[in-house]
Amino acid sequence: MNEIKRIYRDKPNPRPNRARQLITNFNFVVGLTLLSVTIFIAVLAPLLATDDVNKADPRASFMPPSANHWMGTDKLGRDIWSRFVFGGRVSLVIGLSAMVIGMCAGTVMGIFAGFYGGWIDSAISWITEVLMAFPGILLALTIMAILGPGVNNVILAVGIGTIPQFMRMARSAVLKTREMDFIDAARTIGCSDARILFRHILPNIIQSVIVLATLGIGSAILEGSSLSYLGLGAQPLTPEWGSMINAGRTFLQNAWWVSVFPGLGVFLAILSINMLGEGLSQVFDPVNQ
Amino acid sequence: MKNKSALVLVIFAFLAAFGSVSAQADNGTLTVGLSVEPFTLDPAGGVYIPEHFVIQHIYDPLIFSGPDGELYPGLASEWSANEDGTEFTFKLRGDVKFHDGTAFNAEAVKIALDRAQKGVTPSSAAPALLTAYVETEVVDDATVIVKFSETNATFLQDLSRAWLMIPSPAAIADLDGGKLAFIGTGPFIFDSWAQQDSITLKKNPDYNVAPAFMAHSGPAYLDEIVFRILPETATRLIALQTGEAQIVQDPSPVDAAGMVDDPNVQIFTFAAPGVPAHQMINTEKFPTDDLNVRIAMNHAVDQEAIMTAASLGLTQPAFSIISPSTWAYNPDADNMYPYDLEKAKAVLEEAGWIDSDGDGIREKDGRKLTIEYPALPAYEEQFMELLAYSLQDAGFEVNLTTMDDAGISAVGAAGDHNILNMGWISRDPSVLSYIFLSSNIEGGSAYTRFRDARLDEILTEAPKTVDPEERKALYEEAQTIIMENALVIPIHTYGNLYVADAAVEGFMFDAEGYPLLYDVTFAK
Repeated sequence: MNEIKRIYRDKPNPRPNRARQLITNFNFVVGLTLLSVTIFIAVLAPLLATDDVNKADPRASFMPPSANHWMGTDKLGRDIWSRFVFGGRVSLVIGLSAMVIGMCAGTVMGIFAGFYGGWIDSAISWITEVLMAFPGILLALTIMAILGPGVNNVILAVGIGTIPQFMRMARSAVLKTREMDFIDAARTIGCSDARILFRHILPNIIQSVIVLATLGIGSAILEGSSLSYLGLGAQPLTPEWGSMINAGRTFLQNAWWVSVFPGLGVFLAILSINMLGEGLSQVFDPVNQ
Repeated sequence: MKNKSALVLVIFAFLAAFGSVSAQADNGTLTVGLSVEPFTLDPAGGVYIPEHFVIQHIYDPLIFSGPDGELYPGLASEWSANEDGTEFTFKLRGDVKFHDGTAFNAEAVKIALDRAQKGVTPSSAAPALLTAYVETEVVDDATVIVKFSETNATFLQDLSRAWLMIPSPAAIADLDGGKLAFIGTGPFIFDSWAQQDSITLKKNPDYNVAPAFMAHSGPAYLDEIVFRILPETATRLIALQTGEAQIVQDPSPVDAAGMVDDPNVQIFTFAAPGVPAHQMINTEKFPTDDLNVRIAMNHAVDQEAIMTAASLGLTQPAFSIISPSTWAYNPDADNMYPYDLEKAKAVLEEAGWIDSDGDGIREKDGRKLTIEYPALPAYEEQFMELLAYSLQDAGFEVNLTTMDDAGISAVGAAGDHNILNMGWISRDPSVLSYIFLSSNIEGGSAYTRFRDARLDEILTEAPKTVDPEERKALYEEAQTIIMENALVIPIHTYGNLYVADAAVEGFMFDAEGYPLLYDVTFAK
């Protein structure tokens, strides 16, 4: 009797209330709040900045944080708060755009590979395996060496680096989905391949793709900032968190604020996105239900 | 009670430790913190700064070059050159002995130069100084004639470099066999070398070769010099602060600036001769093909302010293509375009560069005043943004792109730059040929891509001219041509930076900025 009761109780709710689960998920709520603040700062940068990002004043170099300069000034006397808010724009744009590129290209490659199989699958899988053979940052560095420095190239380099994970995940999801009855049904009523791919298969795998993308944005921001830190991304006159950290690296002992604030920016952006992604995956991932 | 005696012991130990440090200093042991360990102390094998620094304390040259750039007798007491500068006769001193007791003579010079011409490591600096070397003829024990296949106008200057100093012939077999047989005639005797730790030199009590520009003659004041290898910038500075070293090389500019007002230390800076760090302006690419644009760029840049901000005043600004400490420096070509932002704007307006759409960037015939600026952060990080801002203030758009050296070379070779950083440390202005001779535009470093018959003629003729006055006049004209055509934006001279304990006296740089420790003593 007892045993039967327990089985009944453990039976999952067939239609869980996702929205309710989300707003009560600690990770999701905190992540969303922090991310909203970060995005708010980036979007409203022109209103929040107190100074021209490129106004150098060597006489006011290395000023500690004060009422005039909320985050102090750097070696050239530029206002770090203003560079911080504009730098966040660049860093977030790099992370988001790279992830969109990787997500679109990877998913499309994955569903083609999974749906058609055969030599298409072999060719696409081979390409992604080559890409995966390199550590992410090394691959990005190689691509940067070919394309040359610049923000657009960083987006492309980081984006290409994220293709394999999306491709693999989409491919395995399609392999599972294409054998299901409703696909056979669609085929029977004469749907075209494109219709089956994008109207029937894609919606079924899109949830896991979005969770993966959310989790990946954080690392994409980090990778973009790393490339800028190395001088390959945003160019000197453009504020960007990674290159700002680099600019203050040699002055940490005497002027910690030059590096610490942009570092805090990277930290908060990545933390918020990771918490958000973690929350999403706790709610949507079948393993966690 | 027990605890108390332990404390007393500790205090005594401290006193003993500190006492021994100051006692050492009194005895005349100088400890120098080097940033890079020498690879060899063999004159014919060296190439790096720390090697030059140590070698010139163990060996002597035939001719010294004083801090004033003039030549002083060393192991050679007299010298003369033939008409076309291919043969040099030296009278040698007969009263000098190597550290191993053998006598210095003509044979030693012949062996040293023959060996230097071949070099002992692939990277040796010596062979490049002796490319046209034919032979050294030993006339008698105290006379040699050095022969070249073509005019070598810089040979006498080159002789003062460490790479052509004279080692003992008796030690050559050991040197070639890889032994640490560093035997010269210099003020200090090589004592020991603990790899990756230190090199120790002892005073040569019989030294009698000191050049006339030194403050004293005879043996050096110091009993011992210990060169400690301290590759970490922070470690070197701590060594100085704790009294472990009395002189350290290459502190970070920020740290050095922080010590400017410290009464316990002194900072020695040296403005190197040669071509200062400057931006080469591409005269073939739009818009810098316009002389007015190049002149305006020069007026727009305030080197003084830029370098004060960038290096905290430790690096000197430059205003010409040759730094003032270089031989044949022409003061008339210096600061031809003093900083004047209004003048820069006026020159541009007059030449038709007007900002008609109010975006802060000037245009002419629908084309923007855009400067492509590829920069190498290793050399330009401290000033590149300030330089870009200076030009922006005058109405330029500056595309500042940082690259690695391979990228810079590619852009420079293709001529895709408007401005590109360049510089060359040298006592002699002959290096101007490398960067301004039009035959070096393709496949060379002539990144201004400037073609002028007279400049080419000067830069080809001057290295072959033996008469110093004639040669000087040629290089002075070259400087005028370069600056009148505004081919470059000078930025700063190269500098050497040493920090020393306040007690160190008699510290001196030679003509190329290597420290000379022969006169060094400790203040009592």
